[in-house]
Amino acid sequence: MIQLHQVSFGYQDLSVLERTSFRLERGEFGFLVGDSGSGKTTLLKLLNRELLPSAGSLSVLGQPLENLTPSTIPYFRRKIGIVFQDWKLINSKTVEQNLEIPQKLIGTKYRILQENVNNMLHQMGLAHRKHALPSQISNNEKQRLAIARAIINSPLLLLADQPTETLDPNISLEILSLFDALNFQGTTVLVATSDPDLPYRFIRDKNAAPKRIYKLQDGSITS
Amino acid sequence: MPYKIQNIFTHIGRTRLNNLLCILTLAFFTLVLNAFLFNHTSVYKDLELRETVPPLVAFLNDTVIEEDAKTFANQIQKQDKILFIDFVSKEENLNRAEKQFGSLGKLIRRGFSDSNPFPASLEIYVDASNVSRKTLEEISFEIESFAQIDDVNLTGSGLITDVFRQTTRMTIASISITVLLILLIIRAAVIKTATSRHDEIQLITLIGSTRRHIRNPFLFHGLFLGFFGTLVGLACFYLLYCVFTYQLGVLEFLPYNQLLSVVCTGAFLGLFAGILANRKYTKTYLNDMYSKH
Repeated sequence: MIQLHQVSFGYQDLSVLERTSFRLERGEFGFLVGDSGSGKTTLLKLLNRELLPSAGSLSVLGQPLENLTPSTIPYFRRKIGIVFQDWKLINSKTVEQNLEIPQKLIGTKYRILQENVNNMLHQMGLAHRKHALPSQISNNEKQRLAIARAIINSPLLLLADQPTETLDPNISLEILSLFDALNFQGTTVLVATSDPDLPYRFIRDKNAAPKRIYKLQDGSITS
Repeated sequence: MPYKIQNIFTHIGRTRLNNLLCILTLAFFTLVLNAFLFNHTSVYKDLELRETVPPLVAFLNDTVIEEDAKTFANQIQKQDKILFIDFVSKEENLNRAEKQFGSLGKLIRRGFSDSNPFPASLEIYVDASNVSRKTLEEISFEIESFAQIDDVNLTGSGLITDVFRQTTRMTIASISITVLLILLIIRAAVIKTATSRHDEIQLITLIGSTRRHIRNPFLFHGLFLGFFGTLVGLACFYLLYCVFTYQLGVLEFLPYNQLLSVVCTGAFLGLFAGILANRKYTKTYLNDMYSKH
């Protein structure tokens, strides 16, 4: 599902990833743990083909990313759900309209779109806030909205960039449980976090199945 | 409404004041351009009317007989700027006056049955495309200096050609400047609108929007601004034409094909400006996330 082989990446003079390799199989749930600035977000950007590695090979969903053409990149991205670190919610659109965006992009018929959006709003506990603007909802609700938007198209791979960063511990575990349920249905999940205890706390407190944990340090990954 | 179309309308409707200002500015420049076109068309029509009129008419002294006049005509025809010369007899000039004045012409004929007061003349045709007003005046003075010539009349036909040339130059310059301004204004307006919804464009790029889906609103926005900008400009120009009809006299409004071409050119330029805006925006704000680097 995800395969990095000797991947290197840097921003001008600053090297972020140095000959990094790791593998996450289809249907697995992985945590990517690293300090702030260790390159977690960069790695997720590489996986979404926002960036290209300076060296090494990278394959996601069975596709070598260096072979993607400008015209195939959008269709590749549609198979991936992303929870952005800064949520990237559209402030001029309501909660409901924000949730409609991914569905509209793939051309879902309006009736089905309405049904999917309503179901997702109920599932994420946002039904009562559907007409509110992102500026009018709490951080917790924003996070849930960002997650809902990432999973509404039933992606094959879910990438979450520090999805529990602004949430209190209990809600963080609830969010991870949601990811776990999604993983149970077959979606491969990779969660980046700067909290090294979060994966262990989640497995212990929620009695969840063991997960893959990758530690990102000094530009390299150890599992 | 399909999302693609909805996306275009959302994009255009995002900055209404910006659009309004852009349309008004474009309308102003279209108005100025139309004034130049109007002037050009009017001069051209005048030129058409005078096409058959010789630029110079040299009236001969009554003492000059027809044979001498023709010899004299051959002599001055050797000048390189003169194309040809027609000799018109006294009788022919009287006939022309009769025709020109209609019923009064018969009175003229009757009144001058004994003696014909109209002089014989030489109609001098010059290469109008190469002769300026100054040169025409010089030729006129030169011919007038001959003893056989009583007077030389500049009919205005040659002068209008010169004016037409100047008007054409001015119109071409104004078209070039207006085209450039339209492109710059629309491009700036489209980029401004795009940056105001940058967060949305960035998001849809990251979650799988195609290049075409990102680009289309830019193109349609440019098309919209170009079309309505020039249309409003034409409407304002027509309004001014109606207000000043009395002062303009017999001048007619611009022909339909010219009006249509102004609007079509505006729309096309808008479309092109939209393409330019999209290229600039993609490179600057999206870091070209689709490219192969």
